[in-house]
Amino acid sequence: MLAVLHRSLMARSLAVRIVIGCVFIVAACGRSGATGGTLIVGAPTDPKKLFPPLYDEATGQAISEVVYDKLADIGPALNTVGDAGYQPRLAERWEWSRDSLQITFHLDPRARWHDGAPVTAEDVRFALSVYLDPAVASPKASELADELDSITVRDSLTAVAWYKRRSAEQFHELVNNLVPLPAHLLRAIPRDSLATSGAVRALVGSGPFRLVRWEDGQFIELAATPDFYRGRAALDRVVFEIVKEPTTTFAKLYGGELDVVDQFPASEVAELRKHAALRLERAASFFYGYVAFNLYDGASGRPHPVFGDRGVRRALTMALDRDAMARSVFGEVGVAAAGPLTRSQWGYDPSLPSIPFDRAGAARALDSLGWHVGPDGVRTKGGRRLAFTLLVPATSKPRLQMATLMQDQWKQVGVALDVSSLDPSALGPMVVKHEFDAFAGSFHVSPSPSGLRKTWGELPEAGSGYNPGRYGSPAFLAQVDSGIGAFQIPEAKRHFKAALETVIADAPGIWLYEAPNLVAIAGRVRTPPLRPDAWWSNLERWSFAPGAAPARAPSAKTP
Amino acid sequence: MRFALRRALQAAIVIAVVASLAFVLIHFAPGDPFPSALDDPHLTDALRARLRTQYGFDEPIVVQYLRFLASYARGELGWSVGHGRPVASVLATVLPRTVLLMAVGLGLGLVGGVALGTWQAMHRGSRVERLTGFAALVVLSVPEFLVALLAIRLFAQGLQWFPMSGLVDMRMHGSMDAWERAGDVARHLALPALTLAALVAAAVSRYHRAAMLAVLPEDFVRTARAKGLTERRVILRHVLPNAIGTALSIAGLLIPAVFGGATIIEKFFAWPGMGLAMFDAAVGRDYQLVVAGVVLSGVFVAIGSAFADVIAARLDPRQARR
Repeated sequence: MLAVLHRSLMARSLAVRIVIGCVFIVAACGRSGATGGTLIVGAPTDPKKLFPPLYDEATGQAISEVVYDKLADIGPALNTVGDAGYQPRLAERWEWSRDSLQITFHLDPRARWHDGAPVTAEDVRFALSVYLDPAVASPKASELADELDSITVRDSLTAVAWYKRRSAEQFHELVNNLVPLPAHLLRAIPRDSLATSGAVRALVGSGPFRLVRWEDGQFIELAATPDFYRGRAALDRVVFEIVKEPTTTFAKLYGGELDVVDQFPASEVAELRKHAALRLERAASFFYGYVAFNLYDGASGRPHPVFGDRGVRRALTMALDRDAMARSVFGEVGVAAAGPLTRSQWGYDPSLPSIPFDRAGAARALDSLGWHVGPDGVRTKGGRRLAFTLLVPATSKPRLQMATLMQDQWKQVGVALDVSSLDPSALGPMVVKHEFDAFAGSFHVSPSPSGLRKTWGELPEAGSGYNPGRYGSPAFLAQVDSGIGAFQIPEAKRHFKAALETVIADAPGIWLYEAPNLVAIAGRVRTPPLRPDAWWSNLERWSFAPGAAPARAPSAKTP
Repeated sequence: MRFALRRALQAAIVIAVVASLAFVLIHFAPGDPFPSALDDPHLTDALRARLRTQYGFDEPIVVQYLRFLASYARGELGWSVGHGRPVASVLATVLPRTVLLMAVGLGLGLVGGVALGTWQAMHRGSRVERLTGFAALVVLSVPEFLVALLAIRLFAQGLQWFPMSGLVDMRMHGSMDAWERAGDVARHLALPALTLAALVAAAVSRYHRAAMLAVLPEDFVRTARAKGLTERRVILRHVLPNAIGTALSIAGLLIPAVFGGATIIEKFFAWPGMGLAMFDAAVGRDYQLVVAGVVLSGVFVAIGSAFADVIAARLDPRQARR
């Protein structure tokens, strides 16, 4: 009897222990990220603009996007067609009208601005008026104006976006470009002085982190929003420390003074691997380098004497071992570009053809086109030497290195390349006026391949930095337009593939490399899977490993 | 008084000419403060034109120049497009940082250079004198950035005596009291200031040693020794006051550098002062900030050279009479 009673008590005791244990585990799980601490991010540039309609570089974007929440955020698959995969943010849900010309956004009633005021539909409507106001001069205005007619307020928590026409990416264009702004703080400021007012530096946002201090040239300090509607961030603070000198950045990273370094250079990867306390995250690349051939003779309408010939352009492409060049410049993480897009864009198809490296084939092709090697080793045709100048921005080390490699490889097939390295302020006007032979440029692309229309499709408008070589293929453009207009991804991919096959075969340029997108992170920092296009996208879920958060004095004052 | 007024007038004319030249040159340089279409293809010609109109950069250069003169007459330094706030506010942020770094660095460098030069002159020909002279020459010959890198590698990474860079400890500064904060800034200041001091001391010691060696054989020094004064007293009371003019003149000429900043030191130690701000402003065509920096620098060149003249006159009255 006693034994039975004892066993019964033991069993109960065990059950109680299990229950208590579960309670602790659940409690611990609930606070798994709540380890506090300050994350220090090394910023290579000093962002001068953080106001959502105005930021113009990556560090500014990262800070702006953790201070301000969007209506919805793109999912990890980076789909831009329809709304598949989009994560609710300020909008807890949305509905499409039957004709797809309206989208009704229902705002999360818990969402608050950092000053405590509720986020309302009027803030969404007001934001659009700010973005589209010419006096504000937002670079995002054209994307929004192309698609969107207006936003109306149905009630304080319901905003309706009205579109001019249906398009596959109409949802993406709106939620990616338009960030709701606090109307109650900004409405009274005249639009022509908004960009220069103190209010845009105060950054009262709606995101997981709020601005604490912005010391020009030194650091930008953010603190977790205490009552953030999606749950308080695990980190207490995030500081973007501006360190412009790369060697100092690396020393601070290796010495444990920095936790994250974005845009980590490929040339430093081998050194980083020696530090066990650091890890390297390879995010998707949305940046490719290219050489654009000017298909016309300078700014004129006459075909260029060299690049006007498709065969010559193909031969020049064939003469370059782009894989080896990419590895030479970027080391183990170097990848040659597959075409005028990156492998991270959903329009990429692994079965895309390419012009293969074949030096002997290139030489034969040039011979067959009448370019014969002259006494000085340079090919000539009708008295014209196969020699040209490549404009390279002096600020781009990878492209300067690539230019040297191209010079060497083309020399081996009888092509003389003169590299002209210029400051972007001098080079820019030459390129937009098409006063060049060849230009080594780069494009930062979005997850959507629809940008192909502007980058290589339509003939450039005056002053545009797009399509500098003036490639204009109706077949390419038609396929791109069909891709943009398709509402199903498989159909869109089919059209984009056909377009890419056309442009790759025409070789209006040489797509040199995909710039590696590397982020160095201290091993003690725990992160959810990083979104390929934005390492900061889930910063509120980052934390330090238990016991690894750098200590903060107990007298810490909440700023 | 008349002399001082004449000097002030001369300085004002020089500053006006230099500022006008800076205004014209920076406006005629290619580019403008807005990114080119190549950097950001969203920034179309139309948008750039709108921005240029907003900031008045579309007006003829003469109109812009007159506007610039009028704003300076009102005591306004204009708007920094790059920083998105008034130029005066930008200068108020970066100037104190640079003054702190440069004043400590140059002060220590001057004192250290004079002490080293004096010591070298007193121990001329000794092995240590030759060694320190060689070391000073090495410091002078090596580019600034290498000295900065070496300092970081040795004292911050290796010995971990000092933080590597920045003005404050990013993690802890917010939780410190006023004294701790001052100590934190001092700790961060130490390495860049000492690096700067080493560079200044190396230069000053070479000049000062030569000046000391020129004074040591003078008759009055021999007389002082013959009077039975100790060698220490001879050096401090008789040789040093006659030799230090060179070092002080160098200090006077270095005063403008205090306000111009040391770009390399600031860059490597992430010390965001005038040097970096001016460099960024010139590259980014931040017109009004560049011109304000030039004016400020001109003012301090005038003050520095006047200071050097006064010191030289005090030490050698014959110069005042010339």
